[in-house]
Amino acid sequence: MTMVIISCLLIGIFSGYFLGMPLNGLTDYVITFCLLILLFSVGIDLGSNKESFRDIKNNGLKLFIVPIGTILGTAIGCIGTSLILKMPLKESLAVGAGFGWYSLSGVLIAQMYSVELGMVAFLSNVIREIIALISIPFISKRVGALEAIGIAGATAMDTLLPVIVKSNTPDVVIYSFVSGVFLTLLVPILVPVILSL
Amino acid sequence: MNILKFISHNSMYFYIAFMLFGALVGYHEKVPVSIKRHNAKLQTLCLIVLILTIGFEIGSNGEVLLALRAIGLKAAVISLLSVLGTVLCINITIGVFSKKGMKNS
Repeated sequence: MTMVIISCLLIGIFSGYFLGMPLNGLTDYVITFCLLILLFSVGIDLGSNKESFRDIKNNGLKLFIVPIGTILGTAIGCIGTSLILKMPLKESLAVGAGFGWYSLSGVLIAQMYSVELGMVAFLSNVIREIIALISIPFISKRVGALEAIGIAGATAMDTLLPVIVKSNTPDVVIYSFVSGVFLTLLVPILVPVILSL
Repeated sequence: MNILKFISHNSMYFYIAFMLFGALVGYHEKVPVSIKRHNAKLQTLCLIVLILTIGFEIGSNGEVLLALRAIGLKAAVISLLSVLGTVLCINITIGVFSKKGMKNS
């Protein structure tokens, strides 16, 4: 899937580069329309997962250590970035709030803020997923399972779930899933809120 | 076109509302079978159109192409520091919780 997305991005960039901007204005409507359908459809997926809601009831607050830690840790990393690169804090926080969901955060930021920051978000969250893919086996062994789940961010519920399960005992699946669902729900809320600050 | 304009100018509220509405519908199992069966395909299709469109905007925007190096640097630093921060935060929280747990027991 990642390959499909990256090749679509490249096709888009090339056609935009060579065709110029005759579609300008229309793209905004296309993006809004597709995002609405996509978010509705993702919402259906999230809502249909009743097991995760039941798990939250049974296991309580312990399950939220991972997503809350991920949010705080990501925020700290973004504050550090804005200090090091002298980047507006709002911008780095908005990029970080993608939690690895690169397709959505890139598109959201490109539409609501600037195409340039959207590109940063896309790349940054792709890199987060690659770091997660490489480091989860190592972190699971040397540091801990919950830390490894945090790295995966929103993708802990789908793309990276198999990697997490393979490097840990099966009982961490609940943690991974709930953290992924919670962060996935937060991305379309946090990103626009941060951008409107 | 006016409705579309209104929606895309206030898109943030509509995005949040649509996802929560979807979650509600999904939770109460009110989703038509035809949509539920093709949900994954629908997501892929939307994603492809979105990425193509964003790619088009990037390609036709000369400034972004010129700023690619700066963009790459920002992206790399944000993701690296975020991952580090996340590992540290969760690690510290677990430490605090397990100490509390010991005191209680």
